[in-house]
Amino acid sequence: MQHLAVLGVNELGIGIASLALAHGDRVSLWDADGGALDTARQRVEAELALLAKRGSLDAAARRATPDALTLTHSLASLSEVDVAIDASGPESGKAALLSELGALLPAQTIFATSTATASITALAAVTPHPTRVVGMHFFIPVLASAVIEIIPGLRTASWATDRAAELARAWEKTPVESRNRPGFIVGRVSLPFASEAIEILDDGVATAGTIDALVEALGFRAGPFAHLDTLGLDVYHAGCKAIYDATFGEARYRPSTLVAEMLEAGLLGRVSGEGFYDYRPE
Amino acid sequence: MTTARNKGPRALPRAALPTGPGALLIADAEERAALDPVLKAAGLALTTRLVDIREFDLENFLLDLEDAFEGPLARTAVVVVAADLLVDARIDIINLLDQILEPERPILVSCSQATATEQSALADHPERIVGFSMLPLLGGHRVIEVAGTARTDPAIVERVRALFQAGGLVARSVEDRPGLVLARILAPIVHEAANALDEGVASAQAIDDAMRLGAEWPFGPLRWADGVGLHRLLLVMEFLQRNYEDARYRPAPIIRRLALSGMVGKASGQGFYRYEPEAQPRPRPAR
Repeated sequence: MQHLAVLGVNELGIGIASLALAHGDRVSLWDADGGALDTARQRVEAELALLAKRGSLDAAARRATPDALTLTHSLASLSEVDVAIDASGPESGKAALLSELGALLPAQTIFATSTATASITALAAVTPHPTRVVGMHFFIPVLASAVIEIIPGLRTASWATDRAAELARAWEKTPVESRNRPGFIVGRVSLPFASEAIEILDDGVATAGTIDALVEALGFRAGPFAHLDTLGLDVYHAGCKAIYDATFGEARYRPSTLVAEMLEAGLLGRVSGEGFYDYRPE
Repeated sequence: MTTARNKGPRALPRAALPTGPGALLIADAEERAALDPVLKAAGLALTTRLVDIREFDLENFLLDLEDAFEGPLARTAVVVVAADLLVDARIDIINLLDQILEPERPILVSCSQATATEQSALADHPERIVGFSMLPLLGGHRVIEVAGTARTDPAIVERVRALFQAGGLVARSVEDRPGLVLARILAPIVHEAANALDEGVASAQAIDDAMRLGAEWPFGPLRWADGVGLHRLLLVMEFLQRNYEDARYRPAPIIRRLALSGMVGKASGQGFYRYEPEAQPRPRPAR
């Protein structure tokens, strides 16, 4: 049993905390926002109840949860943990948070950060001990996903990378190690799946419905437009821009003017009721 | 109007007659393996002219084709031109077919290396030339796109689409632009995964695992590419790059390297992965 700090009460942080609790770890869940903390316990318990319903959580683990989960808004209270995982949202505030907690944690404590597009090397560099900082890119929904990308930065020590992979295995996830290149593996290789489909639509080759039907006939669970509407066009566009900027304008990652215009009109996908498809009630 | 049964006095024995409208397929061995079951399932009596890029003689092929259309192929209702690797010779084959085949008989041309528009530019009867996509079929998927040009008769496009649907495929009609839909998505995905491999982001196996398990894709892009053939995926990407003149379609250097080294994938025993030759069945030794 290890003691884990999870930073950020959001979908990702709740998922990681629930995953660790379900595997018998102690978790201190941190957020600066007291309001978010108020609902955190409820959200974790809902996740675990879902696991129990699926039969993948035993009764002992469920009983242990109330004691094993601590909620806190004090970074100082986290200095004794074995592992810290940063799941905080807005990438701008991430560096300040990492720098502050990095100074509190002993040098041998592994410090992981989950990001889809930020450079692990850059995030590590703001902390006093960059060798123990490693990327652990979790996919959402955390409990259902099968893989965690493990990303060492330029100065990450191999023991830190190994420990992150061990953690993933202990949580029954497959660790896949990726070099710290923009988009890592999954974000990068799946980019053309969406970006080419958008170009094809924009060129008038076929409708979104036809393109999705063709792609789904290849065995994909969702075609590119159904996928984009679920992900959120704002999330896609921001990710695309981040990879484009990080590669100094590589043409393959060029964001789409069509998506930019849809965002100007407030079309974000399912969340706004309209994206490539219309989800509003008739 | 040709019918399957010949009632004339010089009728051949019935067993020798085609059971449905005749189709001619011009393809290499890999393409035939992908298209043969589809065309047969659509009820076509299929004849194949196999082409082998290593020993292809265009002049003889055209002469032989012309002769055959005077004789055994006279009743051919539809011709399917795959032969993606015959990049230059294809256009001569298509132009000859256009001259000898009655105008209402469709000619289907693979659009992996050229648009249907480009391939029907010199035709006298462009209204019956319809493009289709070869790449997904080579990857083992039961899906096809068909594309008419600005000069194709929409009714013929629909007949061709219905033909493939009858052959058990998901068949959709799209506009005739370079790469149509699926090749323009699949080829860039493969080249992106190859670039990631080449930059040392992860091993081929790790990339495929991440995409199958992390993104829940039905196949790993690099193993899929080995099945289709890296030489074909190189040609598709070069075709996209040439036509769109956009750096996003720049072929991955590692794919060019492997293809030019003859390491084209599963068929050659080596691509992104190494493949052991399958054991051939041997006679059991007598006791």
